Amino acid sequence: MSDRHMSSIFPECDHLKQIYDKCFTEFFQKFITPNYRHQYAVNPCERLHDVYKRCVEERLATQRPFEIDLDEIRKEYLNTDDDKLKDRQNNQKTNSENKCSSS
Amino acid sequence: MRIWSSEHIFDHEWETVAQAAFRKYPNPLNRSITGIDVVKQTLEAGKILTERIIQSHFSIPSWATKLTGFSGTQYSHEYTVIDPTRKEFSLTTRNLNGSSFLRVDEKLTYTPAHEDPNKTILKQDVIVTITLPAFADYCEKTFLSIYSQNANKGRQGVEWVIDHLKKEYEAISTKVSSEVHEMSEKVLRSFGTTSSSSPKPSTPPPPST
Repeated sequence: MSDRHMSSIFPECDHLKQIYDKCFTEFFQKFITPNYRHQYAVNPCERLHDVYKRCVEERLATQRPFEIDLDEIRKEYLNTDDDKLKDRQNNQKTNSENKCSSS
Repeated sequence: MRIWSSEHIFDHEWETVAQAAFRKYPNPLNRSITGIDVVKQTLEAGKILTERIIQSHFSIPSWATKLTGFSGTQYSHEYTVIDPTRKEFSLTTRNLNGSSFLRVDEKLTYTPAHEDPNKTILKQDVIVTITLPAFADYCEKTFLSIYSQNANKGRQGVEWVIDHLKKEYEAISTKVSSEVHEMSEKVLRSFGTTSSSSPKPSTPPPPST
């Protein structure tokens, strides 16, 4: 599994991505365990991500594989009222809890 | 606009499923994913927030390409929140290109089953909207039909990763044991060296004139 790797969309950034992915995967395996102190955790791979992200963002800007601006996407539906599925899932949770409590 | 929903139960505890879902690709059960980039990954109050761009490639008929200009290379924006304290893992995905005629919003959540903490529930919702009036109904039905088939493969994909994680864990355990053993050897060797050395005789100070 340690050799599993999902390539970057941009071949020029793939090496940086491999370095970052390896670092974060190791951190994530510790982070996910129940006894880990999650509240104060920080991303130990932040500097690696900065370098890798800069590579990706440059190519997103120059090669423009799609037209939509990421910031527009974030504004448009992340954690906003426009997230139709969010309400739906919350309703389902409520229904699920009701069923459990009634049984 | 059409909504499709699904629920699935994994016979694994939440931590195992979350790890597998987080590292789902590359995966032989879904080879259409051709690239992923992590554009943002932060930790906030014990949660991991991740934004990724996912590139997929599908074969679509040429008439659809001519009609829509869509070449078959699809880009999606995926936003995930992993909260190990509450044991919640949510994914929200939306397509980035082709949105002038096709809009797909997808949401998945993985949470422990109430009845059995060793099982994990996956809830999956997708809204598909097509804005080509003459084709909307047919295309939406077709899309969801294909989507539900792929959703099943997606769940098998998560199971595939879980199996491989177990093998990796075994390899890690072996490595850890080996390292501990090597360290023990070093300590014992060092102790042996220390005990075998004899103290050097001290040189008497030179006599004063």
